Amino acid sequence: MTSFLSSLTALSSTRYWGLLMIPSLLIGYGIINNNADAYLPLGVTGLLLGMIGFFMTIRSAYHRNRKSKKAALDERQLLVLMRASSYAFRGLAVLILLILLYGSFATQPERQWWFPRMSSEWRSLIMPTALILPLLPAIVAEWLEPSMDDEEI
Amino acid sequence: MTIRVFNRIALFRAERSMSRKDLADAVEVNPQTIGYLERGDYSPSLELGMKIAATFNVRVEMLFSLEPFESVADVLRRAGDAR
Repeated sequence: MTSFLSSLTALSSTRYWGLLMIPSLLIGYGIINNNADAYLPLGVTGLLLGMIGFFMTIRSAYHRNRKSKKAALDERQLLVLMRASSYAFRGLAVLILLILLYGSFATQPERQWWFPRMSSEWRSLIMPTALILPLLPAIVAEWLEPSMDDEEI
Repeated sequence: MTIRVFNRIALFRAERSMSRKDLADAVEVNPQTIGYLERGDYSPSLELGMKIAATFNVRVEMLFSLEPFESVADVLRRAGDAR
């Protein structure tokens, strides 16, 4: 019981919200934008979870910087941010490569795999991607360096 | 390969009854950075190392070393045996 309760506490951490935000926003916005009525509850839930994750990530990024004197990042924080940005955009490059690979397979005539073809399908990916991209380094930074809430100062 | 830099920041800070926040304010870094330094999870730049040494009014080599520092208990024990 205790371990179950402590796992719930861990789930409230912003690092998990950041991870949850990515699929939730993509799925939620994709379903709602394409008017897939059968999946509407899933779409609304995804969008809600995604927006909560979005604001939790902004909150943690603000909290991380607010504690700095003169609102400037010190040398260690800059290092963490640079490492986080590097990991985030390397991960993004790999993801783009995987999407291109998937696209080259999915669009071959003998396969009937789903791939965005209509403009509305592409549009449903643009908005969540635009929301997620600027926050990617903050999401990775939260995993590289936990929040200072429990730090003894 | 990362070279670990050992330090006595926690010792000097405790001796002067400074909190991490006090030291962080003095050297203009985030209080969490002091925690990272004390645990040896982060090695400071030369500038930050010199700022911390100046705050404690000691030489940099008294505060930082590439070799592990002898524990205070061992130093005291040896000084007691020498008497």
